[in-house]
Amino acid sequence: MSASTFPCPQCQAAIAIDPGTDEIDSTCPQCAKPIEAFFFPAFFRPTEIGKAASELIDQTEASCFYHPQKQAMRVCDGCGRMICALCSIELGAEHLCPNCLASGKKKGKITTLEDTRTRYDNIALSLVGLSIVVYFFSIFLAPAAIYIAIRHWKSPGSILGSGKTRYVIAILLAVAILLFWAFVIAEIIFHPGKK
Amino acid sequence: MPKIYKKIPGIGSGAAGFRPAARARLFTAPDHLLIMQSTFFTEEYKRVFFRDIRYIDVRQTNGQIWMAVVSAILTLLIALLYFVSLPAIATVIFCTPFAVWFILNLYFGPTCKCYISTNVQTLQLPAPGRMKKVATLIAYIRTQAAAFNPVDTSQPAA
Repeated sequence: MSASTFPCPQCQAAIAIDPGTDEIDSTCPQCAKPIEAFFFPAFFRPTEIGKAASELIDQTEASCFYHPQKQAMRVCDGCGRMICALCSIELGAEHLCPNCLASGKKKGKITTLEDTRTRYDNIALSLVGLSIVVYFFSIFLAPAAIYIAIRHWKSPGSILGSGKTRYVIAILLAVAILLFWAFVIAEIIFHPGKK
Repeated sequence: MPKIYKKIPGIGSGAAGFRPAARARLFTAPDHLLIMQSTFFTEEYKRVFFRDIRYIDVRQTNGQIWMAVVSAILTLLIALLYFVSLPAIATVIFCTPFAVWFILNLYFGPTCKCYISTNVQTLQLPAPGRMKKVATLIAYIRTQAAAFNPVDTSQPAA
């Protein structure tokens, strides 16, 4: 698709948009369905093509760590290695080599590459909630909730910045449930005939 | 970790509505929008950087009409119960939420779906859900996009 054509959302017909147009609020010339769209500078900007790495002309020139035959273009902001244009991956204000990018994503250091998170705090809280609903199984569910809360205490929570409140609530409720079970079992053992 | 995500002023995150299993919410960071699809146990993130936004396509939907019909029918049905056996005070109590829903629905205006498009993907935005708020979203994104798409003022060489 060229930079100045907009596909009709209904029939996918290409509608030419004049440069500088902010919005269109009309009907599609092909399917006559209403169209309302707002355009931003990136719509009129030509698609950037990735730079090719230059061949090493002189042996005194710095070469890419990963491609010794290619000319180094910059230094990786993660590991400091010399990298060529092909290896330089722009990530916000930084330029990283593929290795740093992969390890940064794996270790969760690059937040903008994270695409999923598990909410262990909600899982722990749900186990406690479930143990209240199906109370007979709470003797198993409450310890499981405590285990998850402690095991994942340092795991990252929501990307929106949740605290540890849910973990604390889950642990307190689970402990209360376990104390209740301890009381029940103690009653059965020490006062077997008492009703 | 500092909180970088916040709701877009005047838009909200799109958290309202009937989404029992999974819900999508919209947040903004200094350089991108975050679409968060969350169940209770997991969160999935999709980021759209302001400099990459090509266009936003707004499609009006019939949600307002359907909500008006449903809320009006429910209000009327409960009101009719007054003539059968329901005490007046109970009728008022049960009618009020649906009547308020009916009025607010009319006040908020037509519903819509917004799709945001970059060079590589088109995503539905969780918010805004009403046509009235689209202008606020567009103004916000225009401001942000302008900051990341500087106007080229360089003069061509003579």
